Amino acid sequence: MGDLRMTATPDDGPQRRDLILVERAQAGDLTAFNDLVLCYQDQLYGLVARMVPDQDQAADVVQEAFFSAYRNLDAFRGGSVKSWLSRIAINAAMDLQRARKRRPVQPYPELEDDSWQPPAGEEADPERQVVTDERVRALSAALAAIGDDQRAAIVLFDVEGYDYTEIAQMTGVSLGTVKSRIHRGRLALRRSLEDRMELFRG
Amino acid sequence: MPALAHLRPGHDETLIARLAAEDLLEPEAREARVLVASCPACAELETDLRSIMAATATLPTPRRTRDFRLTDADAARLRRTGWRRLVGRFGDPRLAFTRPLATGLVTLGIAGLVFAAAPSFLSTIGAGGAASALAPTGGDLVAVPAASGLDSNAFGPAVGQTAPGGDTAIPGSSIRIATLPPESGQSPAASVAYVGASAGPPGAGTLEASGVPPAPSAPVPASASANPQFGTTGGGTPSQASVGPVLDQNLGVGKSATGEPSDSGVSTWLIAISVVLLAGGLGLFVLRWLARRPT
Repeated sequence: MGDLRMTATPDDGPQRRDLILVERAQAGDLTAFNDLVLCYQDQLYGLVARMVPDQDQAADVVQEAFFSAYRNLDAFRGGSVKSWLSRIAINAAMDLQRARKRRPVQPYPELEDDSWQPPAGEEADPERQVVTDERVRALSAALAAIGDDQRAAIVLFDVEGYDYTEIAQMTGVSLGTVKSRIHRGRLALRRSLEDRMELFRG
Repeated sequence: MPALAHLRPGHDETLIARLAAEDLLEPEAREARVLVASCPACAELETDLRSIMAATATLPTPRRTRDFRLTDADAARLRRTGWRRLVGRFGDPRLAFTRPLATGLVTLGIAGLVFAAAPSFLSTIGAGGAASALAPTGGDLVAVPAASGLDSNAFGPAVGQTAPGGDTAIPGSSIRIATLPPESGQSPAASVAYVGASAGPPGAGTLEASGVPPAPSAPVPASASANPQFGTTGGGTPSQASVGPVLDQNLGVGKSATGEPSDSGVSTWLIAISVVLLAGGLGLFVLRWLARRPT
């Protein structure tokens, strides 16, 4: 597994750490794999929860993604462990969405509960807090209403901060398709938020 | 609540969206900036898209509800051992070529089976057509007396030329019709049409349209009852046997009278190879499915 280390630059601390953990996990060290889970479970859950209708399903998808990663440790070919895990999670989320289309469920019930935590800070002012909460709800509902592919692209680009090329690799589509999904998705969001745009213009 | 201004006809909202994302090269970017500067609706669209992008980037992170670390039991369940470990190798991306390989094998197998089945199918159709031409009632084989002056024209355009010996080939099929010469001692009523799939090398068992007489591929017995290929039931009476069994018998022989491999022998090999290819391809598909199946 020495070739895995070759792909990481010496000053890329997290990537070096990830590759060492993968190497140990491949040798059968479950603790090493669970260290990887600890590193990325929050991020993967955040990613999947924006793509999948409800919390339980999102959690199931993330769990299945980690199961799949453990099962396919030997298939890891180097590179970014974070991208590899994200790709597995996205594929699992996409599979669930395809299944959901065949068997629709109540969309996004979690939007009404307290698990969505708006950032605190300068919006500690109650009035601003109300506006912020309302904006988050409106945007989350609008995100839920657009197409699955557009939502995934927007979440990966705007929320997770991946670039176009990384998203193309993760989702298995061309660069042009990724850009098109993002642009059309934003236009769809704007149409969906037509009556609520004053929340965003402040 | 202010309603959104609608873009004028001809104003491209995707162009504005790309401008908002700074995803335009200079010629298009200049065009988009002109639109935004001259059209209030385009300007509003660009502002709104930038606002939405900013709001999306600051969406709160959903709180995780579960710890996703694996237990020893999970690991034991997920760990592949024995045959599962071997099968699991087919899910390796390095063996991704097995998918097109499996597809190719299945395609070749199916194509081989179709190719092997086609001659028999065509022969059956041809035999059916010839039989119905000879025996309109029930498709039974009917005696064709040579002395009757029957020539190829009597069978219509589907039947080829009559050879000097009295044989007639059906173009496009391997059916050959032989008439017994009157010198054979058989009464006209006892002369029967000999129908069978031609066997042997090209030209040996069929008559060419040029009318060149071919070498006889199989001698026509003097007595119809002496050879089961004859469609007679014995006693010199005209045969009531259908064409199908005769064809089947000929296919079963596998060699022509000259001893050379017949089409049926080649077909048998082709079918065997096709079945092997098909089984191999389907087996690869199953292995890949087992390897990728969640455990």
